[in-house]
Amino acid sequence: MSEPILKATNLSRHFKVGGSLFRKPKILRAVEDVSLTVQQGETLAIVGESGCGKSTLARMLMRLIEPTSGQMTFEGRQIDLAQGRALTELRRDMQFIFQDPFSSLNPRMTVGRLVGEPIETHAPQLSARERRAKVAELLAQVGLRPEHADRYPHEFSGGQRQRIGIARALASGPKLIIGDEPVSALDVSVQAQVINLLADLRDRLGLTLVVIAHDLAVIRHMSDRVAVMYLGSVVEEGGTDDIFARPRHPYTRALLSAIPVAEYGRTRQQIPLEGEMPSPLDPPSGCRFHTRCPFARDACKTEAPVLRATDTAPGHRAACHFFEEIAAENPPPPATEGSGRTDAARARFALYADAIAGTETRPRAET
Amino acid sequence: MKRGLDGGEEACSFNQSTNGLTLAQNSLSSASTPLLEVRALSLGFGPSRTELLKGVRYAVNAGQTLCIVGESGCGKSVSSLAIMGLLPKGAARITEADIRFRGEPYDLSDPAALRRHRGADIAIIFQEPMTSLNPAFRVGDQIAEAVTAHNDVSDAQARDRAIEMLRRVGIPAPEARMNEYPHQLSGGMRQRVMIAMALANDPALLIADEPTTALDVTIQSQILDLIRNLQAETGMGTIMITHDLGVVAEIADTVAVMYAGTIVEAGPVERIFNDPQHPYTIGLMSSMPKLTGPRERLATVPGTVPTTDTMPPGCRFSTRCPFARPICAETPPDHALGDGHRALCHFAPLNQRLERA
Repeated sequence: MSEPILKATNLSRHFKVGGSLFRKPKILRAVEDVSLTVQQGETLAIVGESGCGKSTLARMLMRLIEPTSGQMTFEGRQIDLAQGRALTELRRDMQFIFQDPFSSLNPRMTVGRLVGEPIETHAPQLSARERRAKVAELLAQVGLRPEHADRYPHEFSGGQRQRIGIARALASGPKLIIGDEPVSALDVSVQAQVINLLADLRDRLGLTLVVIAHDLAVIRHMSDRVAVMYLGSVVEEGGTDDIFARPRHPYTRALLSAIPVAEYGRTRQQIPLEGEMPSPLDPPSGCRFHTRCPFARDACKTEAPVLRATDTAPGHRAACHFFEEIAAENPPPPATEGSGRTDAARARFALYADAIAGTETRPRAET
Repeated sequence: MKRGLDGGEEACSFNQSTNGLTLAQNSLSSASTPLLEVRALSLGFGPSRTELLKGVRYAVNAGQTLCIVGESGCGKSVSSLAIMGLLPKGAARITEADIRFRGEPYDLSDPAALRRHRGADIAIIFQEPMTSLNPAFRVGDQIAEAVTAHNDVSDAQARDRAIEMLRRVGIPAPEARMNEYPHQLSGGMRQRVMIAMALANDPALLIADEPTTALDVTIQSQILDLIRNLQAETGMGTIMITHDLGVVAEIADTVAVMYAGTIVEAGPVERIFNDPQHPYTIGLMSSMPKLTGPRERLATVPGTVPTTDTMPPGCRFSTRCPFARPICAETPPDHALGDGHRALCHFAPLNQRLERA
């Protein structure tokens, strides 16, 4: 594969919490020693539960938060120290889609100005008329109409606002887009529309995507590669299909086994996780997952594991001392398949999919 | 101290009916009549003449779980708030309400009667436990208040009951947790406190409004297990309101699919998942990314939910339905499809009544 478009090496971000003149502040280790590479044209998903540091990581990659330590390169250029013009250029090539389409759009600006603003910054040579044409083109690209440019965000539904956010991100002509939970605030039916839109845009514009999410089904659908985070560190990474079929880290396995599947009669055996994620103010020693890991041994309490290659597929790595033994001794929990849809129901789903795709339907003459 | 909306204010009679008694009553009544039967519920807000809820109808038996599934704004929460009598006074115009609770008429226009039920034999838990708990009071006091509101007990007895409930919902060291404030607890722990409060008076019916939506998936499965176990212990009926079809498949006995204020399809969980009939149910299921099988482009439900101003006549799904035809401007028939499975669609079952042109 070619040179990675984005590369992060040993990134950390610590926040100081509390403290005063006479008391040392506590250190919150939001992201600890994370290394990632994103290849040109791929979609990388970063998954984890709330508080695992995935949003902090995304904002660091975007330089919205300064890293405490570590290096980042974008297309080979070092970006962790970029300032001024270099940073502006970086923002042209890298854009961000926020989770909440309600708070991330300025309510006092029209859609036209919201989408036009990045164009003003990154292509100041364009005349107002050219800019307006470009805004109309961007709105069409995300499935909105040109006349929407004169309206305000509150006039739109959540899904439409997210489309506005995407149009705004596309306005500077970026090569890479980072989405922080870009679809999780949306209802299922609208979420599917936005997922399809992002896939279309990626293919049409040759974009590279980094998607932060907690919904594993969404991630499986959208991404080529997955990095699983727990308490500030990447615990497992690899190809999406491989991770979902052969997860190696106990946390990934527990996470996958906890998702309720929308299928009747499917029983799954869960790997129960006790308790909750410890505080990043006071992370456990050794392997950070050992306090909840059902397979933890003594060594896990003292030695911190590092990411190492697994036997399953190239590029699949897990940070666990014992994943080989655990995988051998604990085969994936058996899941009984659901009883499955009836043939008539399958015919109905096929008919629906065809109708959505544009096939005409008509009532049968005789039922 | 009257800030908590739900069980915080009101509670029931655990001292009069022990667990065993409640269980016996519930299983008796389940054989004959549903625990809660909403035969028809319609209501509107403000000046708009369009009813937000139109002819909503569902039933739940003791010991069983009904899942009401739908997207934001479909009215799934409003219907349960109406039943609890928690809609702001004067805001809602209830135009039709024929409801039975344990076979007896349940009168939404009688606030005093609703208050006797609320938190006593009907309890509710909400999605966001942080805003449903009063931040200024210790959680133990809030649970104890739910007990004293409906029972003639001493403070010490109420306190003991609160500790017992915290233990039952799996909170470690309940005596110490009693004295903590809501902000000192994690999201999962807060939801456990809410459940403890709701169940403090052994309700016959628990309404859970998106109880796990704000939680992480590993915590979600802990809470679902907890609700399931408590239900098996007490024999209460549960109405679970959710947008997550995965949760539905996991815990429902019966399902009601709601769209724009109407129940468009309802039936046993197996029928809904394996043999769905309504185009909206099919669209909703097609929109969900899958965890297994090939990754294909998602078939979506086009467009957005109509507002009360743009609500179409007849079938409310007609503006987004790929099969819509002129007849859909007329109110669709309620097709009974056997085993309590029904769908509100002119063309159900689709594959028998429609074909590719």
